[in-house]
Amino acid sequence: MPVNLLDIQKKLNDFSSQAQARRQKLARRQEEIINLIEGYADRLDELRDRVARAVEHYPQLRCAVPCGEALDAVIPMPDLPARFTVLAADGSQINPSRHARVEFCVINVGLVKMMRGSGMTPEVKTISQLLDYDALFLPAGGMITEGMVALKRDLQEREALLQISENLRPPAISMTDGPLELYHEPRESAEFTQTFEKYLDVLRDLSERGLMISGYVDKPGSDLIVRLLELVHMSDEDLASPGQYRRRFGGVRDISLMQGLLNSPGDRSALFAIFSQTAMRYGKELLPHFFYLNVGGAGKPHLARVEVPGWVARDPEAVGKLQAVLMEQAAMMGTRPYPYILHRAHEVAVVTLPEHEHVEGMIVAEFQRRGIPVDEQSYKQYHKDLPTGKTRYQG
Amino acid sequence: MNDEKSEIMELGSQGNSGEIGYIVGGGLKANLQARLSVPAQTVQEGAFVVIESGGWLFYGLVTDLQLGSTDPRFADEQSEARLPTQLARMLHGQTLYTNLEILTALMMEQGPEPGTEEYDAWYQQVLDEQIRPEPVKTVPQHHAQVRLAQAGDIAEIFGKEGKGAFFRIGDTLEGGHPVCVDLDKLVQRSAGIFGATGTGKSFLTRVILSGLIHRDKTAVLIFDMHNEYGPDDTASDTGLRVPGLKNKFRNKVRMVGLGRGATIRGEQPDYTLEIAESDIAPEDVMMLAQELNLRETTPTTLEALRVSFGHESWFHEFKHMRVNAYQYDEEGKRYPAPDSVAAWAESAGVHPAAAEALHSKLRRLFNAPYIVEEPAANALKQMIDNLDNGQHVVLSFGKHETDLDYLFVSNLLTRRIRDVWERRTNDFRSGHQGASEPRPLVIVVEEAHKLLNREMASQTAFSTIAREMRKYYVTLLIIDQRPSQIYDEVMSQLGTRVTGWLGDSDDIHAVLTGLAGREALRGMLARLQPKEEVLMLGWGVPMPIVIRSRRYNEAFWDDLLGKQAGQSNEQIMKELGY
Amino acid sequence: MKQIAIGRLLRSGTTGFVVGCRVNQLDAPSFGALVRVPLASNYDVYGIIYDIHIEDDGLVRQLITAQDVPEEVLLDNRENRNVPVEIAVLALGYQQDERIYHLLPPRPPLSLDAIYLCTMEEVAKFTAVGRFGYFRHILRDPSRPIDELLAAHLLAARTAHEKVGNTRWYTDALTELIALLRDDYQSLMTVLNAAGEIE
Repeated sequence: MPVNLLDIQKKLNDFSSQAQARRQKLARRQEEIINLIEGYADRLDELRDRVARAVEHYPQLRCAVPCGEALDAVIPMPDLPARFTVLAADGSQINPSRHARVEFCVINVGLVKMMRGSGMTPEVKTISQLLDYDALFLPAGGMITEGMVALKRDLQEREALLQISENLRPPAISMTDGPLELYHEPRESAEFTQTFEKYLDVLRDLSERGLMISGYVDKPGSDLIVRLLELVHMSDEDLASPGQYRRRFGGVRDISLMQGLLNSPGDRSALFAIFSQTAMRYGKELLPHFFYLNVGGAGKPHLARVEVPGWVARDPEAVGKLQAVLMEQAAMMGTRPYPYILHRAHEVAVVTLPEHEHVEGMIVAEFQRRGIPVDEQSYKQYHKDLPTGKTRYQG
Repeated sequence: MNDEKSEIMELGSQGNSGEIGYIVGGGLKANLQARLSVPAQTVQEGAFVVIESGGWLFYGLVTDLQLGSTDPRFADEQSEARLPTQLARMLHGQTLYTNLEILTALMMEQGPEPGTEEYDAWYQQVLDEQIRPEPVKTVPQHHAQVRLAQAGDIAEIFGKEGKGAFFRIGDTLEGGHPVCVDLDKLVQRSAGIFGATGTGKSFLTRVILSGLIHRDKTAVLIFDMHNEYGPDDTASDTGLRVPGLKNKFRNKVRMVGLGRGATIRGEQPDYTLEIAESDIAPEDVMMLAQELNLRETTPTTLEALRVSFGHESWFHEFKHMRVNAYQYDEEGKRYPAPDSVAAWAESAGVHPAAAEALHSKLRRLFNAPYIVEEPAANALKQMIDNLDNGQHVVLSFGKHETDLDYLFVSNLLTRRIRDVWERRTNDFRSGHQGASEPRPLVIVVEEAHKLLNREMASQTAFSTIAREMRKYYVTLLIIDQRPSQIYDEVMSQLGTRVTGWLGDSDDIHAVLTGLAGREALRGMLARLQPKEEVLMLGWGVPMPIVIRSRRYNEAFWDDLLGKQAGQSNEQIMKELGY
Repeated sequence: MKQIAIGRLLRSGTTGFVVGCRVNQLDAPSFGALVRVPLASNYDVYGIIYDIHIEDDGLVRQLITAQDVPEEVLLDNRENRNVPVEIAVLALGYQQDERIYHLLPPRPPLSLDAIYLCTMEEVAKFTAVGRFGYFRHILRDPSRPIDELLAAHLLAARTAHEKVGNTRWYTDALTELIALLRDDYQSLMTVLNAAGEIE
């Protein structure tokens, strides 16, 4: 049934007023933080002390930690290397559903390898994994969750990178969509731990090959730097009772702080390390660091957040190459900058509905061939799937 | 184009009659329409075509050719310029076409295959006229095949040359197949030969006359106004010598000159003709009313003369009356002399002025040297005898070439001769002892419009003959270039008409008078080729046909007379008139 | 027997069907080509490709807005990214038990396993049967580009016939076309103009 637009219309005024008020509030906070950044730009040790102190009171603290570059540093993009290799991996999945005729799960990873300056056609590969039937069901009962599948997918994306990164010729850069950190519920299950360990192994292997891995976050919403600066004004009491503490700069995002700084295409911000309980598990070499990068064109800045492992972060030259390569990749998409190779990987990975149906059909056929009974589609699902539009064959 | 035409002709001559088209529409009333399947230039108006359908053969003439297209744009646009040649040709083959309009006249049951026994028997039946073409009563089917007529088709319809009365008068336009006319049938009704001046009427007439004379079933009396037929002539355009009937037929043909001492082209005629005054009847004079510009009072005056002096003397008496002859009496009063016109008029109760006017108008007749009181011989009787005895007479007018002479003499003679024939016919019919059937006679007159126009229609012997339709074994063969001036009642009585090109639409209309549904032929008449082509139609001709007329030359004479080489004495004697 | 890799049947009916394919450019089927679809044993549907179009590709559109496109990116697009193609096929007839009919197939495809580009021999055989009855399927819908379609078809079929030694086919086909389109001046002239190009 159609949405009752009249109901919506009535609320619009109020809604907009609220938004406006919030905007204004955040703008004030933003201004304050920017002043703080200016003030504390070089007082890095002080900030680091603050963090150390805060974590004693509040172990769950999660914020950015400056590495050595001033808070308001702006580092321009160096020249692009003449030849380099750039890799990207992206994954998509078919989540199991009890509404379908059969329960199955597919993780599909797309890989692209481009050797810039070689004049050769980039290599494109798809790796599709049908999860073990057994793996679909949890020991405690119930089916594997979407979150768990996503986790497996993240792991497989990096494992896939391993597959095409043999005999790499430096410099070699890889990117995946999203942060390097695995952020998935349930964090503390045994399953998660197992997966996480594997993930770290893979990252290590990739590093050993000299591959500069990175995670690319478009339209970043994190506020790690804001949280760092909040610590400046927090008293010990505040720190001790984080539940009651009303965040001073809540709602402001890091990106709004960086936007005023990174004006020229290719400019990057200072490098920050991610400080959190989970981040600690990565170890020094692999600890996720990040910086902001302006991938937009002249006069039209567009900021992305790039995560890199510790060993890359400590190598300014490496970071510079990464910066240049990312910039080039994003520029390829013209008016809407986004790394081309990452988009391609996504394109290769994506599972269309017909493909979904085709795979389901394959499984159903095999089951039927073997005499394994196949359920009906749930009626709920059936009716959901009915085509709403009408298409008649008219040549 | 010539290649295509000769290809068609070749097909015809091989007896492999190629289809030229197929029926697509039309009907009985409105003529048939056929789609042409060969190039348009190979078929002409007037072509004689045969349509085979349902066991019948339909014979017709092509009366029109029309260009058509399935869509007018195909005709408008010159796609030859836009498309490759081959493609354009294929396109035009299916979208541009020519339609024939065919006037069907006859239909006949189709015989068996030529070359079989049945065919010979069937053909014999055709010749014996047991199987004959009949007027069309139905139409052929759609897509019936149309082909050009072959020699055999022509012979089936028009007769085979040499057989019986069939005389070859010309050839078809397409294929040059011989076309015959039935001479006996030709003279069973009065007939006409028409054509504008210079279209070769006289040559055609010579051909026909030669045929008639050679056939010898009918006596021919020719009023040779311009000395074209009897004596040898010279063709005005080629300057070649044209043999005359006298030359070729010798004693079969008697040349008669008008007036004592008359010569014909410097030669002596066989005999001369003088007209006795006693032969002239009042109606002979009345006939000249227009020519002499006679008044309305003339009939009265003539009648008075006849009453006064009798049938045989009135002319003589009137001739010798004096005008402006006065005498004076005692008192010196003037009065008409007794031998004057005025005197007689008074005595006869006729207005003197009228009588005097008539007298002065008849002066030309009075002065005619060939009108005498006592002719040297009874040439008229001799003419009649000749005609009776199987000879033919050509009357030459010599130096008496005026219309007056021609009108007067030919009418008078015709009247007299016709009277004789009438008497003989009545005797024969009533079984009078010793009376034999009169020999059919055809009288050949030129400039017929002078003799047979509306004004004179009631007065001449010619119109009487025309109307009588051979009641008394006499018919006319009129030759004229202005048929529109001939009284249409007379025209409608004509049987066969053979006409060359006519320029005047009234003339064309006149030639077709009395023939039903011949509108289609009007255009054809106007488009005949002068000097070559004639259209033959009417009673006596199975169906209208356009032919290329036979040439009147030495070859013609060889053809006609050559067969007489080695004839028997009997035949020679007969030819000599014995 | 060149098989066109196909994706799936998009729409089908008695008069034809539309197929979605992912095709490498070199193997792309051509407009006007004859295809054969086996639907059952002894039952093949024959059709002609009357429309090929390439679905909108957002990525390519975006790439165009960039200042210059590196060579590797160009190569990637040309060789790796399969072009999503929609092939529309008009049914022209069918073969049942070795006999070819130029009538609409009694059963349209409901699912497809494969489509094959007809070989020269198959083209010659299909188009030689009867008297060009299949033309009327092509001519039926004037909203299609029948002139171009016919010209493309004539060219291909002529070649096929010449190969098996039949030089008359082309002339006969044109004659039949002219007869069929005689009353439609516009269409006929467009078809002939297109045919004139291939002379």
